Amino acid sequence: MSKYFLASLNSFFIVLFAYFVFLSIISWQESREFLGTGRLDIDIGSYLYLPLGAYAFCWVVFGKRGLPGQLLISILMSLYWELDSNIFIQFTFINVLGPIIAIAIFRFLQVYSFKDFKSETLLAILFLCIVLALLNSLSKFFVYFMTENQTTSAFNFLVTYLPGDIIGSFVFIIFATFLMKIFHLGNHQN
Amino acid sequence: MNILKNNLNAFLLVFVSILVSVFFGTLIENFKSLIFLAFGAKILALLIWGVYVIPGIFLAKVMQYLFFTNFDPNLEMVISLAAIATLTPVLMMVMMRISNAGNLFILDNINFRHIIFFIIITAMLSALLKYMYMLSDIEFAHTAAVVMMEALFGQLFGGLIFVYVASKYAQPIYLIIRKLKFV
Repeated sequence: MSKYFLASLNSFFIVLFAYFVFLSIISWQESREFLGTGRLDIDIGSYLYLPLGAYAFCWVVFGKRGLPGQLLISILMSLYWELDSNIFIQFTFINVLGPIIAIAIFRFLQVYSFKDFKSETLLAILFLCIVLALLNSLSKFFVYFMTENQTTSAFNFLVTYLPGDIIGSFVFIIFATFLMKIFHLGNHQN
Repeated sequence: MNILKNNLNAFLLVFVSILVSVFFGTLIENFKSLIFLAFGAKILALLIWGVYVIPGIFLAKVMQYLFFTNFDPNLEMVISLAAIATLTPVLMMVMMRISNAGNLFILDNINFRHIIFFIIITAMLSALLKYMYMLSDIEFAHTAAVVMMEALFGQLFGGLIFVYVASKYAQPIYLIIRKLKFV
């Protein structure tokens, strides 16, 4: 029980940290009018969506023990963004389940095992980020454009979500793996 | 001469499967059916004959976009879409090769699960790139997600079914045809 609680707590704070950095960068962009509008807007997304990498990282490091924490932070962030009720639950599930499905595809099809990020190569992590981004962007695109109240064009949506997901997740996973190596931290799945 | 023959084979394989897909497909607002076999044919041609058959596949895709589309095609769009459809699998093959995820350039000792992985990611990337290109040009409005979902699942199911059936039954069918002395 305590293992579950600790893993969930760690996952919660790791993803919260990713959201914090992500929001700080967006507000910095907004204040400096750097790289476009930099608005905090679900329609547009961001070119550096760090939380996607954080969710994937937590799933690899903590496994199913960290899931409650990830689910909680995802729900809290959806509340923070004041999402509509019809896309609220779906975005929450995509955030949490997307990385699980992507990593499961890699493991089941015997491409990479992803038992630990430290033992994987940079290219393997990049490949994971691309598949993660494809899954995340496509599923959010389907959910978002099935509803009638969208205010942006489908092209603008995809053109920011896809590169943002790839770059953001790659940056976060590399940064987190680097920290794990420096502080000699290991996996907590077992 | 051998490359020319392979290109012709690839062209015929892809084009016939396009005809089959169109004949049996449900042409809903677009050029795709929900089991788009041509995607699997393209993958199989690349796996069997290698990247040298790109011109043959490209030509078949150009024919598809010229004659089997419901939107009004212009030459630039046809060539761009055909190029995306042809080069996406090659890009993924190269990417899998350099990231040690599996060498699909050599068919010996290949893991069939890697081929399934290759089909999944290629279908996703291909659907995304094609529709990003088309969305920049054509206004789909509310149906964009529906159209893209059809394309994605059509390619995914078509690819998996075609490659599975071909790998399982191609050899027995070839042997029967040889026994009947057609070849």
